[in-house]
Amino acid sequence: MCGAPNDAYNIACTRCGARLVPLTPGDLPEDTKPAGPTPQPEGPPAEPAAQDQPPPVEPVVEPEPTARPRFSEETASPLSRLFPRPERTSEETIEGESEWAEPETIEPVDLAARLSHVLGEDASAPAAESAGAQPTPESEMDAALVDDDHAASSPQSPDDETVPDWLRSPLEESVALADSEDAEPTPLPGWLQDSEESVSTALGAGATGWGKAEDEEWGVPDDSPQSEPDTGIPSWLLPADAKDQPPPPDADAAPEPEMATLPDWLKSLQPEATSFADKVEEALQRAESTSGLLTGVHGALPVEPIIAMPHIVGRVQESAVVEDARAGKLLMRLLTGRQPAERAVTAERRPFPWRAIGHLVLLLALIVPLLVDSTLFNIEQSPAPAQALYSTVEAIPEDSFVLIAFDYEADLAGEMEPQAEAIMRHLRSRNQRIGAISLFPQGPFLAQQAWNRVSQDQADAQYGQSFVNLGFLVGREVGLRTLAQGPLQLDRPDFVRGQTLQNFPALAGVKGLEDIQLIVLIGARPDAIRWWVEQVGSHDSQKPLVAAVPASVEPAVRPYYHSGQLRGLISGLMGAADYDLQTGRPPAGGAAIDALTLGTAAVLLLIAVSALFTLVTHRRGADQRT
Amino acid sequence: MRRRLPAAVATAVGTIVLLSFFTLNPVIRGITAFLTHTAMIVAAFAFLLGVLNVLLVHVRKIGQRQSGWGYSLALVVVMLVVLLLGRPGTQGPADSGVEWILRNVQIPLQATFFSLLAFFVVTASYRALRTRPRETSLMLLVAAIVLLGQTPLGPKIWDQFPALKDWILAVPTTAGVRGILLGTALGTVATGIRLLTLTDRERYFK
Repeated sequence: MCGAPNDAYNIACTRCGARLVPLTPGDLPEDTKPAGPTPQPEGPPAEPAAQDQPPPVEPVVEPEPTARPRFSEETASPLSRLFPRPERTSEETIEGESEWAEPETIEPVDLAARLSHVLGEDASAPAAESAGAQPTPESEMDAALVDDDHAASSPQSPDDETVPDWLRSPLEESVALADSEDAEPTPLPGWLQDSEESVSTALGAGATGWGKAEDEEWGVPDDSPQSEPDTGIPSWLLPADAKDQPPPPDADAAPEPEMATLPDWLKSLQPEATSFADKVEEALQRAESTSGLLTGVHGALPVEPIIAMPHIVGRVQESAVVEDARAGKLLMRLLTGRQPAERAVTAERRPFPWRAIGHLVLLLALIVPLLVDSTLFNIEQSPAPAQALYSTVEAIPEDSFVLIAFDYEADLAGEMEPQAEAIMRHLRSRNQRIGAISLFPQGPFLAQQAWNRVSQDQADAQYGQSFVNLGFLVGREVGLRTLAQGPLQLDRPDFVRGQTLQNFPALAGVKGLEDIQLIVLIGARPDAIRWWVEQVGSHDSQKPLVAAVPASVEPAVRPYYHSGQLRGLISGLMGAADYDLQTGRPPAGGAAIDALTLGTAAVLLLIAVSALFTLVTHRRGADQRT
Repeated sequence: MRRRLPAAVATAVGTIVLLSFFTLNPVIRGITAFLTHTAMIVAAFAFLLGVLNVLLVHVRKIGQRQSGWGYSLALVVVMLVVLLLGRPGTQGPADSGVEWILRNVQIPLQATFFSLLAFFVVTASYRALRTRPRETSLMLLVAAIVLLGQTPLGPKIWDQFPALKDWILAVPTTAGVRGILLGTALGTVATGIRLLTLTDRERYFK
């Protein structure tokens, strides 16, 4: 094949005359058509069916010199003997072939026929039974082919203009051979002897899968186990039963060179399969399907490992530039005798401690007034809730029992104790009996501390007479519900002395909630105020409740005051100072008020500065972006 | 049975206590009083159980030398000391030793931790200004008005600061808090009804 482009409908190449269409039994003349199935195309053949099993392999013998040519001797020209033109039936006509008239100069080459002719097959051997239809030229192309065949089959002198020079000598020999019927087959030239053997062995032993008759017609040696199939014949060309038989050794053939083995020291230097493709190949070689349809099949592509196998990145080679740079630095150091200039390591700049300065300012604003005991600021007016609380306490008859709930703990004691002391002093000034109770474990202790401070100013204030500590009330809402519903548990011990409550004069005549004239709620949490309002206030809506809360809790308690559930409300240090002023006493915690005021001013100042700073930075950033 | 009995008890007790709010029947009120006293006893035992749990957790932590076991050791030691000082036979919580620990250790420490809040308020306000300047500016403006109205500094700057503060607390703040309280109350009522009607029994009695 010369590789020249040809039309799809060409049977032979227009340049070299090579056949482009595979031969079929219909292409052969009637007398030379082999009997049997059509030749198989190239490629792995399908597994033969049971009924199509080729005949058993017979021992291969030397090819008989009586190879029958494909065309009759009478019409075969020397050229046609070398390049016989196959006949084709109308059924086997290639589509579109009639449209293209075969050029007269085209000489299709039939290698099999040529070789069989060279091997000296008897051209007049009777044709075997043909399985296919007899070729009958029906189309114009076939007629042309037949005419050409006839023309080509006629003996032609070597002086014919169509015969190339390089074929003249062998052509003359073939003509002479064809003329002499008794001519013995001429010995093959050397270059053909080897090919003869290879072809005979390749075509022998049933390699084609055809029947024995076909092998005889085509000059193929009989199938025999003694043949030498070990000449590189693909396994798919061998019949099924022949594949299992080990190839017999070839006594005459040259011994095949042994596979070289690598020495151990060289094997150790072999690079390991590091590439992804190598690893995949190894995995495929090791892989053997153990389940599914591909059980036992080696080399089946495993899906999961391939998908899950990460892409292995090759080792990154160190850049040669780095090595050169190091070598250059070393050279410079050796030449100049000094260390190369190192880049100065700049210390990391620490941010300006704005936060620490702000905290320091706030700390000074809080501590300085406490240290100097200043009284810079005074209370000038009282809010309405504080006035309402004062009025409520003033409305209670003297020598009444007032219950104070100390529902706060140590964290807010600094803000709640001034409120509790102010209210307790006011109550004591009206000779009221006070009972302390708490819903929190620390409450009774803090209540006792507040009483200790208040009683220092009053000589007639004695524990048990004017004040009794009822202790801790368990259960929060449940405990308040019990307090509201049932009688006061006077058989329980008090917090200080451990004596039963009924023994204290302060509780004389007090048996239940109805005997309590006022309930003061000193609560640090809005939940505590809510529990009292829900459990006790709902039981007796006429019972006056007043509250003292931190300044941070006042917004959450205000709805109870505005709804009337709380009769009065004070909040924070300012509320305690304001209540003291209403009772005619100097405000408690003057220095604390100054510290609170200055601390508030410092906080507002810092917030203003941070707001201004944020505004400036935002504008700068917006300007830079624009 | 393990799930049905507690559910039945909870439903019965809740229904009786709820009925006591709507009736003056002495029987129901008497049962309600008994049930509330029982609940107080259960709450007291729960408080004791919490103390025992804290002891067990930290003792196990000390025994296994887990991370921070030193702090657990300090907690257990102080707890045992206070329990010993207030053991039965003494004045209990009013004991002088317990009072000393409370006055000189717990109250100063608790007040110190709470006082740190003031410094964090400044930092938090600055960060809030940087993240949401508009909303934070409005909130800080209102906070400044209220702070100035509560302290003696406000009337010295502008005499209307206290009145403005009272209006802010009485009108917009009360409205917002009242809405929150109502919503919380309605949610509590709905949860209670679901509990009493065993609508949510899988959550509570699983």
